[in-house]
Amino acid sequence: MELIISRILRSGVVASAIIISSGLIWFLVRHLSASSGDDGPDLVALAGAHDGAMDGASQSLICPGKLITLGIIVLLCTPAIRVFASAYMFMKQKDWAFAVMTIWVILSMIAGLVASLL
Amino acid sequence: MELLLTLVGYLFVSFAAGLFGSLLGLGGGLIVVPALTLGFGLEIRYAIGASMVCLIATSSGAAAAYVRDRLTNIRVAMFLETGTATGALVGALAAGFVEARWLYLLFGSFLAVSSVMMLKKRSDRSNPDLPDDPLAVRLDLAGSLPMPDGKTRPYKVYGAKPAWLIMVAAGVASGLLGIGSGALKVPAMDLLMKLPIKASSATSNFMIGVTATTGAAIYLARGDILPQVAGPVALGVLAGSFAGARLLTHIKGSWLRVVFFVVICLVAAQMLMKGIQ
Repeated sequence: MELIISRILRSGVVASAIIISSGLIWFLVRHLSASSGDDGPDLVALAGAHDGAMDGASQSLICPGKLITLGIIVLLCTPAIRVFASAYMFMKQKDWAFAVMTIWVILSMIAGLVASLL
Repeated sequence: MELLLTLVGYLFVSFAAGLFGSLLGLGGGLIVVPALTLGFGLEIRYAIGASMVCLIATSSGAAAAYVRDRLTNIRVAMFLETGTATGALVGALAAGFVEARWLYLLFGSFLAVSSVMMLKKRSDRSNPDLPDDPLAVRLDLAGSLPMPDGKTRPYKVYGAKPAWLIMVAAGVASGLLGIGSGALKVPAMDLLMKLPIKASSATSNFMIGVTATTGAAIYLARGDILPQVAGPVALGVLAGSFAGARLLTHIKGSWLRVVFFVVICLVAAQMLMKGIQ
């Protein structure tokens, strides 16, 4: 059980790190080649205007900003997947007390999400 | 050039946050939020959004190693997560009905008291005279801690019920105040459940990710997680938490305890100030 959970966490983390770094590198390459000098958009100034701040004028489907967000989403899903996996493993071990606890955690997470977004 | 400097700055700050967060079982929001707002002039909501990402990155990055090395007590974590998840839900629903300053005062004083107790109480570890906790025995919460010399040291778990209640309170704090509340989790496991300090820190670290996921999803949906900030922060924190996870098995528990005391005092002071203002 420890090994499986550890592997889930590690793969989630590594996958998100790869996606985020490729997004960042892409952004840097594009930025450095586009603004050969002073007037480049700097991160602090951009921070005020979110939503596509990093993709500049382009409205294309894929851009560095969206790629990084995808990496962040992968990262956010990692603990959730870990909880789902442990629920499954507790059920498989017929450890009902812990299976119920894990499902309770999942339900509270979903309820919290729904309550806050409504 | 300025852009590169900012990026390197983000990476540096978040590396430190990941390192300390993973060692102490705290989220690291403690470092990231002030650094981003004061040091980089970021709006507070974007800083909190980034710190949510930081929490999850610290938790997942370090937990991968802690779980594998069996520092994390998964059963204790799952049991206590029911408390934090319930509390977080109550906190999210109660937001707007409760005055935050009372909570800050309450948690600030709780932390101040427990930090002193954590530093004092060191002699009664693994006290054989303590009666078994029936709930902890029934849930089979006992664990064992790997020692630096390669052996493992078994430990019993006590005080499951009071610790669970503290976790509900910690969950309410996360839901209401948007804090990671690892500072509440570690003392509860240390003082009430009598877990070894490294197990407390690793287990708290493991749990933090779950509590933060709901919050982070909400911040993401609101657009408060900026890719250009949260991206580098996530990378830096991950690197820091991997480094921290490597360190934890090698450093002394007593040293960790002292660092924890200092950090908790700072958090307590910060909370009390917020409550008084």
